[in-house]
Amino acid sequence: MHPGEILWTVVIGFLLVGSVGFFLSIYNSLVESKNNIGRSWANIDVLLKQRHDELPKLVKVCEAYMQHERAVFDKLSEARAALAKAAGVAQRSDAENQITRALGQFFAVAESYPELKANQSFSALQSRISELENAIADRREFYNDTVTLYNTRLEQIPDSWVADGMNLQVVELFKIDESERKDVAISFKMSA
Amino acid sequence: MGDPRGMLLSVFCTLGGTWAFVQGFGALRTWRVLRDTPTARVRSMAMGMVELNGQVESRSDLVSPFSGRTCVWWEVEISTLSGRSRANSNWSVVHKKTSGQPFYLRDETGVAMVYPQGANVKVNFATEEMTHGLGVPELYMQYMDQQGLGLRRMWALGAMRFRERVIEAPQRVFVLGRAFPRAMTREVSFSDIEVAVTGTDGGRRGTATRQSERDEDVRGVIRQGSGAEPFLIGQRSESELVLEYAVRGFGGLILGPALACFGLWCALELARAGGWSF
Repeated sequence: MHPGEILWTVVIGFLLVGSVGFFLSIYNSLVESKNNIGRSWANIDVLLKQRHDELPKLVKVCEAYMQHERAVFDKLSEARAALAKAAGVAQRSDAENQITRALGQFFAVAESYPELKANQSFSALQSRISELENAIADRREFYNDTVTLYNTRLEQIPDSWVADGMNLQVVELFKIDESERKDVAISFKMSA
Repeated sequence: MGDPRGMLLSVFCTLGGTWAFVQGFGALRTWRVLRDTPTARVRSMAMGMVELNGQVESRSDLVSPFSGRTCVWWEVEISTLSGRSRANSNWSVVHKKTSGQPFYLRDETGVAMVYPQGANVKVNFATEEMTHGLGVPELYMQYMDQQGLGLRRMWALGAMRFRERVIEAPQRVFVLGRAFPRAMTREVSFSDIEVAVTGTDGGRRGTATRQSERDEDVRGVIRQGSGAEPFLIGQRSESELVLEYAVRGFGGLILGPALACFGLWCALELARAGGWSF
């Protein structure tokens, strides 16, 4: 074999192994990114389920004190039912926002019941739900970060070439409720 | 027969280039994991691959061997000068040791525990001292005695380099690793007999209780996942690490084959000049 031929064989070998390896690494990392989205979503679901399980306990504790607040109980119950029925990211995020809103109203109404606020079970449930709300907010943010990174990759070259071949689609972000974006009206009552 | 150094250099280039090419794939994988993993908060981190940013806090009383600094992690490295002449010499590492004690990592939402064994720690050397024969300071000699380094007397005759790097509280670090649930702990009480006999537990009970209380707050444990998964701890920012791995990955994939082909070309030319046939 001529030395030139040996050299060209090695050059072509490197090019072949390099290109195949490079595109395989893109393929594998896209699969990994896609699975990361699924995992991030499942991680939100775990917390939503935990919060979902806390709601009947909350209602049970508050019923005796808030007998004249049927409307807030109903809203909470509706939101819980909506979450149970929801499928897909859009519906789940809507239902999740509905529960957050209903819980906000619930705790706002509960503020006017001093005896309820003094109840230890209520305060324990309130802090547990608030802790879960914070964790859900963090994981929602994390999910959106994961989705954004993935969606960006689907549009970047050369990842987009591989993604097109795999028929990968852009994933929807977990939307934040419009009411959570609005400015909160704060008014001070000045004493004379 | 020609100069064998030329042939050796060619073979070295060919093998080195191939090695850099293979390493490039590993760096590329770490680059992708770094880029595709968003930073989580300790409070809500899920088990699995995580990326965290936070301040380190010590869990045990750890002092670095060379500088005597109180730290959460240390690594020491002893090297000797090898080579035929000063101009043509390089340092070869003859001893390397790393602390393995876990430490806490706290962000604004909670605290996690980090087991640094197996981590690729990206911290610069904070202490570096060189000796040039017959004058190795007592501190280093004592350390080498403790470690049972049999060749220490011989090494001390030539030039030596002692380096140490540390992570001190409350430095901010970046951690990329696998999160596991915190192990369930059971408190083991100190022997009451020891207290009865000596009247003291040497302060261990207090330290253990404080440690146990803090361990209760830990949201998860970050440590090395499976062998192929990256585990990084660094003082540099994520963007700097992403850049570093991109350079290493793409550099290895492009320059590695170039070097290997150059080495091979040189080897073939030398072989042809030497009258070898293929």
